[in-house]
Amino acid sequence: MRNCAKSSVRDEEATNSEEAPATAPPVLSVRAVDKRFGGVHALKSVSLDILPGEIHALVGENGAGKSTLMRVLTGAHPPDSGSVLIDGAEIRLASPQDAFARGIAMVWQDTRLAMTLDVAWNISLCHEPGGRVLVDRAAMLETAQRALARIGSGADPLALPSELSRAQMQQVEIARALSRSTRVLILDEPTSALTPAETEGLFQVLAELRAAGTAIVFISHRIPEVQAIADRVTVMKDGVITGTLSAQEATEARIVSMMVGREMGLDFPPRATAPGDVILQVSGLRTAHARDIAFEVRAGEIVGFGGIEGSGQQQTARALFGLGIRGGEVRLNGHPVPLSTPAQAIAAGMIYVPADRQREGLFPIHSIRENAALPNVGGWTRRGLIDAGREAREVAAQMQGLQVKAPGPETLVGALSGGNQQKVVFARWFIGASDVYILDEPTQGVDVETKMELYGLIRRLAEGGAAVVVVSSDLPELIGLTDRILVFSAGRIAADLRSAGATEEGVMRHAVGAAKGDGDGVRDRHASGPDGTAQGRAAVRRRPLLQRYLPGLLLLALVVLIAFAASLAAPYFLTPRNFASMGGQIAPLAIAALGQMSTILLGGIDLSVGPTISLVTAIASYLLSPESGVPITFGVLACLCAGIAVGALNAALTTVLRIPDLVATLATFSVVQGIALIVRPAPGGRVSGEFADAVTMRLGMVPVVFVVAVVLYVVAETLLLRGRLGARFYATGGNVASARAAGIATDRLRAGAYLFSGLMAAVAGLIIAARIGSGDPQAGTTFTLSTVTAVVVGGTLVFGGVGTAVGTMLGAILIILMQNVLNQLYVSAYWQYVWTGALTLVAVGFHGLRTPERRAAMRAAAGRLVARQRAPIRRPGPPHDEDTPQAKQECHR
Amino acid sequence: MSDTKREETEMTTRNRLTRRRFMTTTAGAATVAGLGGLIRPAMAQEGAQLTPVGEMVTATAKEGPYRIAFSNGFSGNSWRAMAVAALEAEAAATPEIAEFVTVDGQGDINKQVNDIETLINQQFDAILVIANSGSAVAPILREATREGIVTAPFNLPVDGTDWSTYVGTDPSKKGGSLGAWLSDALGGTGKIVALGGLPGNSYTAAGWEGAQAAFADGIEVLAFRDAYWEEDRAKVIMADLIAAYPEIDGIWCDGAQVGAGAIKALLDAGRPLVPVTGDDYNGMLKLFDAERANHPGFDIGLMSEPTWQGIFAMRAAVSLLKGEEVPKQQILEPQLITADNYRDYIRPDLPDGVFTDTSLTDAQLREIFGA
Amino acid sequence: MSAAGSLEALGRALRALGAVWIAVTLLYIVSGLVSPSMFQLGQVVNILQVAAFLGVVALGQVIVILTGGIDLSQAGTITLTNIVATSVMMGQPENIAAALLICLALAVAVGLLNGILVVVIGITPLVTTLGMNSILFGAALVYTGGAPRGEAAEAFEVIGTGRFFGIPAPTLIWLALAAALFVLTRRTVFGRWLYATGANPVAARLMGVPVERMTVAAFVLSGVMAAIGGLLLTAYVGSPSLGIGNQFLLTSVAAVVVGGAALTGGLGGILPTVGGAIFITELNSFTNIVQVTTGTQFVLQGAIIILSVIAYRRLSGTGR
Repeated sequence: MRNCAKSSVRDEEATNSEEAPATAPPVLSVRAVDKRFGGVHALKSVSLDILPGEIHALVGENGAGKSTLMRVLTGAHPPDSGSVLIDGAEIRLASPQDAFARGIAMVWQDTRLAMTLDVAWNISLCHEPGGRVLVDRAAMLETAQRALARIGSGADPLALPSELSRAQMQQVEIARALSRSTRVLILDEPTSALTPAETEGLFQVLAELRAAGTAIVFISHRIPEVQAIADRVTVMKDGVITGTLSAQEATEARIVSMMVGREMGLDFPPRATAPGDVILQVSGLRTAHARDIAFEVRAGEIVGFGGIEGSGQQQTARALFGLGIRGGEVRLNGHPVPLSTPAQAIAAGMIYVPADRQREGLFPIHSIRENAALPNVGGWTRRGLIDAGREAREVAAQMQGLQVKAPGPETLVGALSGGNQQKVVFARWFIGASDVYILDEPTQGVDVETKMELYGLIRRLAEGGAAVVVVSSDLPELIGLTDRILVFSAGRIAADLRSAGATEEGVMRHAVGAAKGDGDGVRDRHASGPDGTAQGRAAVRRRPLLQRYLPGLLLLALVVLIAFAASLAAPYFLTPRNFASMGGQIAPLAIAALGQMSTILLGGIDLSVGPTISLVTAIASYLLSPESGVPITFGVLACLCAGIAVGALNAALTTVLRIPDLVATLATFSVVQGIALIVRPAPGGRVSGEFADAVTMRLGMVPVVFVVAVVLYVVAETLLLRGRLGARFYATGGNVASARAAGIATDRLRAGAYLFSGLMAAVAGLIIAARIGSGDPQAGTTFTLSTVTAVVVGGTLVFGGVGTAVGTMLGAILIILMQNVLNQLYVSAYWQYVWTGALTLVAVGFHGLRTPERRAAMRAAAGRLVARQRAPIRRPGPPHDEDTPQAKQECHR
Repeated sequence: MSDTKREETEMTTRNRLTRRRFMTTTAGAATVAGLGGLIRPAMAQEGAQLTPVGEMVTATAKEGPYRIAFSNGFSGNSWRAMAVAALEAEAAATPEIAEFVTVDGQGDINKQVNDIETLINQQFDAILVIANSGSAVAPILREATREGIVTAPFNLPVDGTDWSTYVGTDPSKKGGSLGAWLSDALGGTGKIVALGGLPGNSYTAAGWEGAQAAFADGIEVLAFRDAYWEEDRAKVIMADLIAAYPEIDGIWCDGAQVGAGAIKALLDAGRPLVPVTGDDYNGMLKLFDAERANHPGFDIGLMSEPTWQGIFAMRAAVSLLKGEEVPKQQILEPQLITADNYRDYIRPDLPDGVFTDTSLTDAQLREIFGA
Repeated sequence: MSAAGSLEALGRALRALGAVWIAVTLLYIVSGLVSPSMFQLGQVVNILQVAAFLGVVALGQVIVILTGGIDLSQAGTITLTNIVATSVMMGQPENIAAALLICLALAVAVGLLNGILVVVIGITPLVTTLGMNSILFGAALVYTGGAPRGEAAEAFEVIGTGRFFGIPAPTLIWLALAAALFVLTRRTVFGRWLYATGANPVAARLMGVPVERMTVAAFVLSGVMAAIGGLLLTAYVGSPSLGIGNQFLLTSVAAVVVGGAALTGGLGGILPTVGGAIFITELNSFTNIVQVTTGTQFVLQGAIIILSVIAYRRLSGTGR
């Protein structure tokens, strides 16, 4: 299957055009592009030229149209009118993979890595070295290492993206773009998650790429950065390009005025004049990455946490909110507060605004109202019911106060721009009153104008008498916004600086200095993954395969344990004959389960497997009957085609009509079952002995069908582990958007999975037809659920992205083994149901417990479940402006 | 089910004997089967007879005592529970049987084939089977028979002849008898609906085929629906049919739970009750007893599906193992239970789920039903 | 502003009600044109009565699906409820209270167990509840020895077959439960937490939502709703049957999903689920009446589900 566009053609093009950067014609242009989304006119007659060998910055507020323009350039959205040109020739970009194939690569702000594939594979995805089917892992690792080294990244090629820092993830994305002949590299806010040092490194890489002739489009909110690196700056506002400036012309004032339509500097609100009483008092705080943390924050004070990313500042902030705290004392207004959960922290009067909005802050599928109201609704109840009027008023007031730009409070948050999303998060916490606000990267990914607004809001919070902590990696922000800065280094507070008069260099000196002096405090996550030591590295190298097969190994242990127990109690269990029988029984289930697995790996499900098996036996009982006169091969082919036809129906419903998998296959379940009943209303017909004998044939003791199943599984496992196809499955199942960004034709893959599932069900149906010697409209009924059970017991995640063929095979083996053993132990029919259910739970529960992290999570979950505490009800309060500290104290009781 | 077999079974007159009376004809038929000596007084209540069909067959004799297994296609209703209890009682009372085990196909056609394969591997001397599908177990029973294992399907006929001996009713003939009764009860004209078991099940399919052949010309079939042998399903489907058809004169069912559901739907709809067919389900008899006075049109034509039929399969298997001859098939001629004789069968003291044509003693029934 | 406001209110109402009602209406008109008896008032009442059983069960299912889970053990709970209720009642009215209490306690226990397995042990809801379903069915078999006994008390059967003002009692109970759950999900803090848990458990926890408890509570509610559905069904038929719950294994999920809920959680509602249950029942009823074989009946049901989903999406203009 070819899921990635081939790129051989463009390789030649690329080499031809890499010349004379300054005077060369534009490599990529858009001409008079218009784009509307419903009522929103996102792009209005936009024209832009990107030259080879230039760094072209694109700036503008959120909602200015930058992202839409990028989506047009990368083929994600076709323009309504206007054209895209490459080397002056008009082209139609059909999809991101199409753009990718033409040398246009995008590095997204929210990482688009396949989280279930390691770094090396992510870099090579859709471009893997090796043969047509299997990849060359060694070459892949080498490519990855080379690509990472080129941009000075220390990311481990064998690590999973989840083990990397944000900066490293981004480096991997850049490495991916660079590992193939990219002519235009588009970076969406690449520095928003980077430390100054990392940003410096990135700029060096970009400069080298520019020298090599690559065109770079650089989207950013940070004007100093834009000034530092861009050759040209294009400013967008309200879907229109307001102008393109050369590097010399691009002064801060000019850029800002073009962005917002008026002159505006990066002004910070005035600092606190006289901080009040101590509100937050922390001593001896410990987390996994920080220790001996002690500090105080006074009413009216904004304290910044700075330092190199991963130095403990973020962990400390989170610990104050009950996340990952390992010890220490936190006092609020002089009283010690228990802080083991966010709920307790909120109840105590602490608020945390997370840095990762998408993951930790928002409910994108819910409305602004629901998002903003969530932690506050407890205070708006009357006789147990939420006062809808009050909710509407409070939310509307905040939306207006914070100037959230949205059609109305019922707009889904997922549809808002980043800045407006952050305002919704702020609105949520501004509704009630709290003593302490911990803001983690509050302006990350937010446009300049919104930033200014947010600075004002944060200062207002402090002026209202709250203690505010701001974690920021943006040094000017850290210095400009706060009253004091605690510089973290290697898990400790290295310095406590007054912000007034502090310099970026000063802060950095403390951040770096202590790290050199006291290196043992915290492991450096950037140098070599979570563990910097040699053993750590070796462990990382070995882990992927072990991690992959651990569920399988545990399942194998369970299978062996059951078999061993059975061999002691059942005299006929350990006979070759019994094993041969089991082999024959496992084969149809395992084969059907392999098809099922292909759909579940992609996050789908195929409920039509069972009826397809029934249908195939029904068809076989006519076409493969001795009287039919149809050649066996034709009959078999017809049966396989029936399975593929069912798969095609599923594929069409899910990928073309976009019906959710469960609904679609539930419908085909019914349709196919109906057809089976029409074909064969009652069991009957006969399958020719010739065919049945061929299928039930044994090689010695081993049933041929079992051998076939094993071969299928070996092929499947090889493809999943080392094949091009496997990576596509894992990437797509893990995250469809990322997979598309990497150039995978996800719909074709899904369709292929359903076709394969149908085909496998048909093969299983043929085996069953041979076993039962006739057609039966109910023969396959139980296969739908038993295949799902086999797959999931085998360690495949129901939501896709993770799973092995080996595991599924073991799942199928476990099911048949349980039947066999329970029969041989003469367990009563009634108890068999209980045992089957219980053993399934044990088998799956088993691999839930395999890692220490899982076990810890289990204990934590159990603790939270039984903990004697109620979730918080935030006390309602008027906005902070009118609040006095005294009033707050009273409210708090 | 082959036509020849059906022709062969067209014989014996129906006996209408009270369940308390010892039945000489049954004993006679059993003697033909070489089992006379094993009949115990408990069997006296059966009001049915076995008719040998086909040639007498033998199998390779084996030394006792025997290990016998029963592959039950499904367990999960009271009929099966009683059938298993009857078999267990018989096995316990038979000195030649050293071991008797039951495995359960959980209603899964495929699992039952696997179950039987496992039983073959365990080298049981005989395997009794109630098949989930009469055709699906045929190949695996052929294999068992080839291995020298006595195979005795009962209750549901198995395709072909590659099994040792069969005991049971003839579903097609039974369905035909029910159809004939219903046709008679309606005086040869009327609109009826039919409610069956599981979609694609061979028992209902055969019975319904027989019934259709037996209907008089004036019988109009409004609808045939699969009701999964469940009372609630039947009631829901019947409620829909009541709405669709202003006139329903009779109901054909092959199981009386379904019939009871259908009658309850009529009651709920305030419609007059009509003749209904089914089997010896106590709940139906109770319902008839309670409602017949209010509904003159209510009539029942029920043919028992004896839960003790497996005993004869077990006896036939033991006989074969001992080297004796048994008939290839023993077709069970079930009792017709109607308004005239239902009082002989009804058990007001026992739960609805009891099938009243039983070999089990009251004490055993109370134990099974916990009553 | 007011025009936009009222438009928004309309959109909000439609979202709360669910686009499935378009499909319910469409199917009703089409089926009535094909078989006019569908248009009779009696048949409407009949459909509403039968839909009540599935409807109540689906109300529990949607709560779990809102949290991002799925409950396939409802089938087993219904069967066990039916078995236990009839065997405890034994036809005697004085046992009704005991039967109800035992069944509800059992359902709560099943829900708690499901919830704990999901939350603490970390087993996927699909597998947890599928395994639990097998265990519950086995438990019903073990308890009865395969031979269920007992019957519902006549006084109890009123809630299954009785009518008030011409409306079937189960329908009234269903609608009352739906109204209660509607208020619970839309107008209480508990409801907000439920939606938040399903939409983004990580964020929900940071907002102080007791995510674990919400998950367990959802499974408990689902179990209780299944038990109430089972009790209504028991009152409707009056007798025990070991196969009574099977049909609900997937239909309760189907009713919820046809109602537009997302299996990933956080999207869906009570009123759309009521519509989903009516749709599925309507569909069964229609195919029961139409003169076709069982095979064609299955084909029709599948095809109509697909067509309806496509049609109401087009009409309501919703993307998902």
